Amino acid sequence: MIKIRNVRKSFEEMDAVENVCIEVNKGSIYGLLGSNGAGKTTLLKLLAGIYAEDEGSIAIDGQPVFENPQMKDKIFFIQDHPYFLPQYTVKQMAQFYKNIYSMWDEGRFEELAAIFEMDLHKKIHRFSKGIQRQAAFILALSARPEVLILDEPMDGLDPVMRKKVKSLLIDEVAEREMTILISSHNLREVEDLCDFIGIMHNGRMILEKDLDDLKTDTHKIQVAFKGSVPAIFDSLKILHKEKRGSIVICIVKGDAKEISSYVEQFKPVIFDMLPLTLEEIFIYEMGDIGYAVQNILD
Amino acid sequence: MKWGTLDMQSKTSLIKSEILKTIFRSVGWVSIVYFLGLFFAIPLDIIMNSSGEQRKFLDIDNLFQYNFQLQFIFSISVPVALSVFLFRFTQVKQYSDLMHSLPVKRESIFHQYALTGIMLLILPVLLIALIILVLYQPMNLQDFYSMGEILNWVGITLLFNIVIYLTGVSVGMLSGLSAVQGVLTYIFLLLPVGLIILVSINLPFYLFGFPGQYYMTSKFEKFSPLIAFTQMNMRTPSNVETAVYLILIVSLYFLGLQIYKRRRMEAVSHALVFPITKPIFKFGVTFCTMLLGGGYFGEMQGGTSWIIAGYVFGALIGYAAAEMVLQKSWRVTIHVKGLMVYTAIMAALFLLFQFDLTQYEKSIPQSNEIERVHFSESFHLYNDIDHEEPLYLKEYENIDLVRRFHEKIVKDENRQAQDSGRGSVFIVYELKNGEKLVRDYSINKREYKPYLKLIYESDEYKMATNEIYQVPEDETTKITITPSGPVTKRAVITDKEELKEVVQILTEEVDTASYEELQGIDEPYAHIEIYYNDSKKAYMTWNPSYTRFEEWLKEKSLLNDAKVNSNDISYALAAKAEDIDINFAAGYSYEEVFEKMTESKSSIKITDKEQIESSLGNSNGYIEGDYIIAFYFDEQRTMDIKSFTEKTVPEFIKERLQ
Repeated sequence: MIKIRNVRKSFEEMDAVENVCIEVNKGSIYGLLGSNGAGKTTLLKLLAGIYAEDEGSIAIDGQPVFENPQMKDKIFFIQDHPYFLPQYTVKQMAQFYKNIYSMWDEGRFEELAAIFEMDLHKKIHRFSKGIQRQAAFILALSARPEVLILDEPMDGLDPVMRKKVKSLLIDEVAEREMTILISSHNLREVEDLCDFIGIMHNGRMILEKDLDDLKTDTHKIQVAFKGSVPAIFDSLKILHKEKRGSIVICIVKGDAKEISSYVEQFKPVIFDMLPLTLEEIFIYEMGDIGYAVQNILD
Repeated sequence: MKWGTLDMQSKTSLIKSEILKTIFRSVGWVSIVYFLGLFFAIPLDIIMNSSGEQRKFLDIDNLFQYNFQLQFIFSISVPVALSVFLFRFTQVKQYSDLMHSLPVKRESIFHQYALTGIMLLILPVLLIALIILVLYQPMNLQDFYSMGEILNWVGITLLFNIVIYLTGVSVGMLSGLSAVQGVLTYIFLLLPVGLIILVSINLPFYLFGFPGQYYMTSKFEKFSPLIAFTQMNMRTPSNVETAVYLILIVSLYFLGLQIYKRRRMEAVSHALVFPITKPIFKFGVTFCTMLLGGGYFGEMQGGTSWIIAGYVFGALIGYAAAEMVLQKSWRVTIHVKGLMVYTAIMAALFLLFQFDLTQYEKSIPQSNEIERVHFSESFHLYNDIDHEEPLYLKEYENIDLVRRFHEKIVKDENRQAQDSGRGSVFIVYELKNGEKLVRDYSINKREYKPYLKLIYESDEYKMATNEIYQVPEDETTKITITPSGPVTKRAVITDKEELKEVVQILTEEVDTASYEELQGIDEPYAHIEIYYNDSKKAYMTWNPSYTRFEEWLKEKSLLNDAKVNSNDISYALAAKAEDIDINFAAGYSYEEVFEKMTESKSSIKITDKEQIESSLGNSNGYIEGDYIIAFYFDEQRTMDIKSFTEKTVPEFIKERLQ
């Protein structure tokens, strides 16, 4: 649905985004990870049609976004610090968006406002940062966008509210196949939400992964043998290996069944297959791109 | 289904009601403040000055004359403020991101904002006009001006407001900071005039004969709407001006739109959004401050070294200031490379003008190319608003004379530089091909006396500069001769025959007057006014050299009334200038001098009528001589102070003061 091809964007001779390609399928949640200054926000603003790309193409359903109101009507962008028209109340903002976005759903707005117990008649700028963010979510979801773009959306939300927002987003995706792009500098914040992630560093996309594949693809095994360790590891895809006494611990890529049947051949004394956290997968998988990955794991 | 399509239309239509609403919410107050201000300035003033007593003192013939200063302040501030507040969303990053993520085309955003802004400027003016229209009959405003004046006021006010507003809008599209937008708007509005003034001050340093004043004063206000507006209480803009402003309005609007469409939203909060404008701004500021610095020191101190110091100083300050604005910090890094290129270009410009590579100084038209020539001592005589048309010489000999004089001045350029001042020459050639060539020189008049004498004594010059030649002797109705001095007497001639004679004599006197007499520093005896053709009046002075006229007055027993004589004076005090305790160079009043002379022991008192008469005849009107004389006029109990030189002082005074 979303196709970003070879996009470059520079600010006064400094490249903010360089040669980035992304494809996002309808109904999926894409997490854009990277440390500060990696180019996440720039990429999101390009996608939201705020900036024009210098090179490459950005298209949703085959249509460009920049200066294309028909397309932008289906996109909603929430900034890293939610911003509203000066002196507006939530109600007034809702009226504003109702006039601007053709798919606006007033019923949904009232429903969401009730869920979040939002005071509709207070000026938004008087709210705390967390409440402002809730207001932004309510307004965004009421506009019924096909693509929702969220820049660091979890900042300033308490854990309870995070959970609430996350489940709302997941419901929305499940219910009407909304596509979400979400940026974060913290993997843990979004790992339970995203099904795809891309890691950016210095304006470039250094890694793109399907999280489901990752989780089913990578395994931690503990094996111990009587006597010397046979040469079983030559034919396995090993990401990491360490030995503690007679026990060998390694991270292996591949299909779980194939791996276990392969290892069983050598009659190990101990053989365990353990689940991996996403964090561990990243650490083991990307040792060489250390810095960028380290940061998003902090 | 019908409803559905209607709904779709409203969703996709260009005008979004909520955008208009947000515009009103954010800048509606500007319009309201403007309305209240105008209400205070005009309708309230009309109501407050409505009593018959107050109306007598009202001198008003158009609506601008009600609190014009206030109206002026509103017209130059409200449109700019409006443009700044209205386009705030282009200057604040988050606001900009919000607006530009909406499914609305930039073009549509611009139209809605810019046009609503214009409407917010129009509404208060129209409302005020409506109020005045309501007041028109009850307040008897027709005594002051016609209804059309209300329309005029609306038209002119809106014309200026919208030009200023759209300048602000266009500039705003170039800038990413509201403060820079505001300041830059005023700079742009004043730029044409400012440049004309700066260039006019600086070019004469290089181009010998460049008439700076001519360019500076020649209706330069028309090049700035801000300055032109200051005159709207006195004049209405011409059709050409109106047309120019209308064209400006349309072009500024579309210029703003085009810039906005090309504007990159990531450059919000940069002083200038488009990288290409940065060097233009930087070196534009540098150039202007350079000219300002050089002009200031050139006018104040003179001399090439001062001028160059002024240039360097001005350029450095301007360059640093521009860098500070662009880098948004006062701790700026100076890019030497750009400055070097700039210096090289300025040096080239300097050479171009200094060595007159454009042949400006040497270009003097051929006599046969010249239609007519204006020749006078000052630009002000050319641009005299009292005279409809300035003096022109058309005869070939005179044109050639002026031309040769001009050639001589140009040839002597280097000498002039050392010995400038004292006199000036202002020449305007009007060529047969319609072009004009204007030059202004400051010269030492004494050195060019032969040329000046020939020109000033020519019949054509005399005819053109003396009003007496326009007087038809048969239609003269009255002549008054008012003596110069603190007396109330005057001579009046009304007799038909006598009038005819006087006009003839005066004409002949002017005819035969020499250059020295015409240029003489002697104070005229009297001022003569000649009334003719019922309402017309010619004016001239009675120079001491007009002796035939004096004879005639004596014959007709009018002399006593026509000029100050000893009968008007009860006594005189004389003293040596050095004995009077006054620093004449520092300024003085007649009373002060007279008092000092009365107190001084070294001054003498003259009461003898004959001695007074001879003192009157020999003294000079300026207090410059070695001897000072004060005449006491009985009638008005006042004094006149004159002086003698060592040569002109009468013997009896010299003796008594020994």
